[in-house]
Amino acid sequence: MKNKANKITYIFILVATVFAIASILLFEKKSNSHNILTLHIIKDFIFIVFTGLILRYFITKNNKGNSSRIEKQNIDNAEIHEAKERYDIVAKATSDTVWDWKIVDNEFSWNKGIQNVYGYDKDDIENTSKWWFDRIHPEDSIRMSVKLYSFLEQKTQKWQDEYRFKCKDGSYKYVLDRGFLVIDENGTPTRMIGAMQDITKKKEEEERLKLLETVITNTKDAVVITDSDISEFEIPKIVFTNQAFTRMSGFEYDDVVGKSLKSFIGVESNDTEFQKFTASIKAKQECEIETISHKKNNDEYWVRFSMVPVFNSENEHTHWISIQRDVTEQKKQEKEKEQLINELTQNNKDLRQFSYITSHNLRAPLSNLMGLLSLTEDIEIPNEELKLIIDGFSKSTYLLNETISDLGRVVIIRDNPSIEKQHILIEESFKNVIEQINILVENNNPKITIKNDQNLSIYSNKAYFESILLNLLTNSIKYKSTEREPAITISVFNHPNFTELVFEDNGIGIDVEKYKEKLFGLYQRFHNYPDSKGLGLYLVKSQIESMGGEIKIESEVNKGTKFIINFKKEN
Amino acid sequence: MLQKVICVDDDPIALLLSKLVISKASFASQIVTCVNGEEAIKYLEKPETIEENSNSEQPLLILLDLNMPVMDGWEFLEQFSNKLQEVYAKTKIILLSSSIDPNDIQKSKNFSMVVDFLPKPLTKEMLALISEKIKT
Repeated sequence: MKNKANKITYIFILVATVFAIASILLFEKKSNSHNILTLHIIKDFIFIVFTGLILRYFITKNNKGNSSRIEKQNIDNAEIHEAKERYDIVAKATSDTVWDWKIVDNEFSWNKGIQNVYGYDKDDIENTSKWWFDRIHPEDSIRMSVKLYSFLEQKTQKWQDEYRFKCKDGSYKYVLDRGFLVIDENGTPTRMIGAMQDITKKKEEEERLKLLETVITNTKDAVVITDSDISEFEIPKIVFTNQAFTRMSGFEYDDVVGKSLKSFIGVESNDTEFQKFTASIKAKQECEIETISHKKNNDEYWVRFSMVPVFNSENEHTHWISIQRDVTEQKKQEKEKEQLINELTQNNKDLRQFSYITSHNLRAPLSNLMGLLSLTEDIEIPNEELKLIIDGFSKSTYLLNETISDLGRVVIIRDNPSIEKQHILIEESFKNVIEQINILVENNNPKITIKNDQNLSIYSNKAYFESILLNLLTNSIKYKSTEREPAITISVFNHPNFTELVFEDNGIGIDVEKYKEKLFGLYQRFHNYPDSKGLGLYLVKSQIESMGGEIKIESEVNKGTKFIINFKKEN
Repeated sequence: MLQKVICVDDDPIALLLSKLVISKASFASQIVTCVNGEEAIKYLEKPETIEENSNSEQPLLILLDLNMPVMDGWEFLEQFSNKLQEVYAKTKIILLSSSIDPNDIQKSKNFSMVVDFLPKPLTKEMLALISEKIKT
């Protein structure tokens, strides 16, 4: 522009000078004083008109150039604006954040994305590459820088990287960054432009899928996925199996994919279980079967097998997922268990029968002895020695009879858990029991106190309750202390679900700590007493427990014994 | 006093005992003993026994053991129910056994002529109880 103005000026000065000189030379030749003024006026007028025309020409020419330039500039500006707009829309659509790095000046600038996506304010952003690098996750930064510098040194063609970029709130987003390098004529990189895409969601989804895949890969259950097409086969074709299936069946992935799952179930078509299964498949319903299947080497194994239909977002049935588990061992154990139970049940039955037969065969001759002895009671025996012998004979027989009867009771209790119960008046049962052992009671004369202010009854089997009282009472009298008069106290307490009966004596007591485990055991004797059979407490416990109750003992040697019995109330 | 008691038992001592207890207590004027169910059925089937029974006003009492060879107590009860029940309508049977098997007690309730299940040995106290039972 300046050059052109100078040029015009120089040309004008030159032309004007030539014109001035020419007019002077002309005026000198034809000079006379009276028309010189007129000549000057004409000359000046011509000069003015001439220069005016030239000026007009240049101004017009210049104006023309300017307006086309402005026009061109305007078009350029509109294009730039449009491109920028387009670029912004694209950046927005792709959620790209664009950065521009002028490498030589280390000037770094970001588009709006840095604010919109990563939450930074305008003032937070510094226009250096350091600001960018500082926001890359420490675990990613080394790897990322190596790759980036290798690109800047043009050892690689393309630059694209995934790393974690820090947001304003301190959290990290996964980004996919792609960059382009601008190189000058000397081959030096001057500028790099990048587009950073937020792929956090994709990454998280990937992680989730990876996790799900790990489940399928690592689970011990065999997972088989089939398509949903049953036009060709009754059971659809396999599209995927996991390693557990290979381990379980011996079939490799390639052996099974594309084939109907039916070949790997091992059931016959006429099997009712299989028919149920195909019906479920037709109805697209979940189903579960247990069947014998065959491995690749033809070994049999039990498999528990479920099929679940899978539907896509349009609710179209697309696949089946089948979970299979080898239950051979379990089946084996179940079978063994069943067999064991059968055996035990049979053994138990046999033993029970045996105990009844034994009991019967023992009782038959014993009852004869008892009968015969009772007959001798009415016969006068003159021989004193014989009398003594028969007396001993009689005592032993009665003791044997008692033992056999107790054992018989134990057998019956064990065999009959459900027995008839009724509400029993404690005082009345006590009277019955004392009558049964009146000689023992009379000889020892214990002080018996019953504390039952609320007139509570006991819900129990009558025979069991009296047997319990009899055993406890007999024990208390047998094991009385020689140092004091025997005293027995029976107290009854009411509880929401049970009635508590406390049977307490002041006898010689039992070392509870010492005999803890054995107290209620079979054939356990704790005192050297000739009549002791070691059955009483076992029988008592058995009878109480068979009625759903429980018994506890507290005792102190030489002070006395306390039995606490809970009788369940009627439901 | 009853006119007749039939004691059915394979154990001679048990039979002896029953006989002694019954006669001592003057419980019946005649005591018949049989060693198994079959012998008892045969005895009951005799025309003279039937005739004697139909002439008697007193009910006939049978003390029956369960565990016997040849024909046990249960088989006897079956045959009695099938063949003799009508003829011996008044007859009462007491099971006298050493068995404590609750199933036996339960099973005995299926026979209407069985009035009680008693444990051996027979005693005079039991005879008093039996008298009460057969009255009703």
